Amino acid sequence: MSRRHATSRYRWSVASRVLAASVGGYGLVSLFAAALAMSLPMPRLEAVITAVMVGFLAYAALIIAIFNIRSVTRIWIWLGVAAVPPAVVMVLLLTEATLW
Amino acid sequence: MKETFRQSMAWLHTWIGLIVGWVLFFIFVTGTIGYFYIEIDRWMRPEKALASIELTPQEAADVADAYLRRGALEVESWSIRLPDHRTSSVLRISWSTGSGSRSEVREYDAALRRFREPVPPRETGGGFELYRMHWKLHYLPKMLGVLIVGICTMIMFVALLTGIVAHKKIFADFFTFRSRKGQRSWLDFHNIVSVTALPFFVMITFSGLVFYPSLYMPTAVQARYGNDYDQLEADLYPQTNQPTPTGVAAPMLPLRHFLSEARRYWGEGAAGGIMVRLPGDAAATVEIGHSGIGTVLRNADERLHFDAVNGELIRQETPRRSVPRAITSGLYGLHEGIFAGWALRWLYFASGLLGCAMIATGLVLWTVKRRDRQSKAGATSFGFRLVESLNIGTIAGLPIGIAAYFWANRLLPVGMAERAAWEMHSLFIVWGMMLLWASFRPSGKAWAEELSIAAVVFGALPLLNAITTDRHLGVTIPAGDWALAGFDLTALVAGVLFGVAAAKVHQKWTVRVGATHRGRRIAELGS
Repeated sequence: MSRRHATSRYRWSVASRVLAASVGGYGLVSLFAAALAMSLPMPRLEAVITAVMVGFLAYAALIIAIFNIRSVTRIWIWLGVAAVPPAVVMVLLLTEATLW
Repeated sequence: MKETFRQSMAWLHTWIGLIVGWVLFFIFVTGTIGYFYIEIDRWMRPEKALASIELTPQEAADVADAYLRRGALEVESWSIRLPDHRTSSVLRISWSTGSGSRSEVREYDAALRRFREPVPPRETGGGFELYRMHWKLHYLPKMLGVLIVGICTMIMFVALLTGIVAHKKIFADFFTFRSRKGQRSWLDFHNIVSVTALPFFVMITFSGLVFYPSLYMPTAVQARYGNDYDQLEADLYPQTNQPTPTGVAAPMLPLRHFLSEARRYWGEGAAGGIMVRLPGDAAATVEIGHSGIGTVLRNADERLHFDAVNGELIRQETPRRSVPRAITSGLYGLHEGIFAGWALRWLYFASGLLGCAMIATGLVLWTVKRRDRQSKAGATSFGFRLVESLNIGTIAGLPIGIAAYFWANRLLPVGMAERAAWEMHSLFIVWGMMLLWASFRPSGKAWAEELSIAAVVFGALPLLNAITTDRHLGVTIPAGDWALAGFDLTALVAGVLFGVAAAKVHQKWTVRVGATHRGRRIAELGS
């Protein structure tokens, strides 16, 4: 156990997860919350309030997930992949593009 | 991370709990105290009248009405703050002439049955400043403190969830307490205080996050509002329309009438304040604001607007009752507990104390768990010593600092410049001293010493009060002013509890040190 604590590999793993949880995770959740606020079929105040609360819950779940997934690389890949749908939604809504 | 999900969660819980534990302890202590900030405000302003006679809202409205009609008709507005169950004898009225450029304030002395200018109390931040640090911290630029508190709150939320997951048999273990088994006992202690008020902790933490959406989740706000915070304000808090003066005089109905109307809409005792705009003018309006008492959904934004001359309702401002708004309103209401009566308020206080105990036991558990490993290694690591010093200096030291704040309130000269700021400086100077003390003393001794200091500074507070003011127990109990008496009594109880803790620590560490020849090694370790 203590030998494991001393390895630099372990330290990098922890540091990477901390970065993923703080910067990466918060960024992803912010993107997700913005997309949610923009797309919820509610008056704007209600949409924002709902998106904010869902955002906090999602962030907590994300942090827990980040410290549970075995492979650090996989975490970053998933963060990147998960950012695509809300990003697409934002682009569509902001440019008011229509698909059909 | 670790082998199992549960182990990973325990690992995460341990480390994030450690990193923000001391700040969270500060937040919990100031928040717990904050439930009684009005009473603490009163204790810290001993020049003010005792709360002896109860005025009903109707009596208050009549009294204010008579006074204002006699002396203040040619003004722009009247403002009346009605007494409630926590400030029952304080009826404050003020009137303002022209855009709030000049306003005069009077308070009603129920014992003498007349209005007078408020007795200028000593300059102090009172209980409110202690409470305000709960979300703003201190000495930091405006929103930085709020941001730091928000980050710690989010981490606390994760710590709660991971703690629940890591705790294997949460119901079965609730009745487990293995005393005098070192690490096991601390773990059981930590589990019991945490689980007992767990719903409260989850509520208080999540609701804390929801207080500042523009700061904590700004992208969601900006997605719909851009940078138009005025629009956000307008959606959240409907605007009041200012009437324009007609110049025609018209008699107003008695204020009592509008209180009765408010009672029809909101029920008994819910009116918090009355504002009269353009009194005596034909366009005069009377606004009744909700006190927030009597309902969990924070209704303090709700207002009733009446025509002052014919008594008809012009507008009822209610925040839109959509489901999301009801949820946030409910969360704010539950967090702040403005609606709470005495019994529930003490329950809030007790739950807050359990929260402080949860954090404190968690921090201590961290060192207890590692102390054996440290002693086997022969010398304590810097990190371990740092955590220990921060633990002692904060868990015992912060309460000592807060007591110093109260001592400063009684001892600092009344006319002193920057008096309120210096009361706060006293808190932080003494807390800082306790942190230094803890870093230079062997930990067992430091615990016993600081807990003893805490026992003395709290236990002696009622005595200090008696020496320096005439608002001590000998006066407040006969007069039935239980808020003021309660402060002194609570300080006394706190002193006793700290004393018991100090005695226990002293006994344990004397036994430990004296026990065996190997005890010498442990004694060296402690220094």
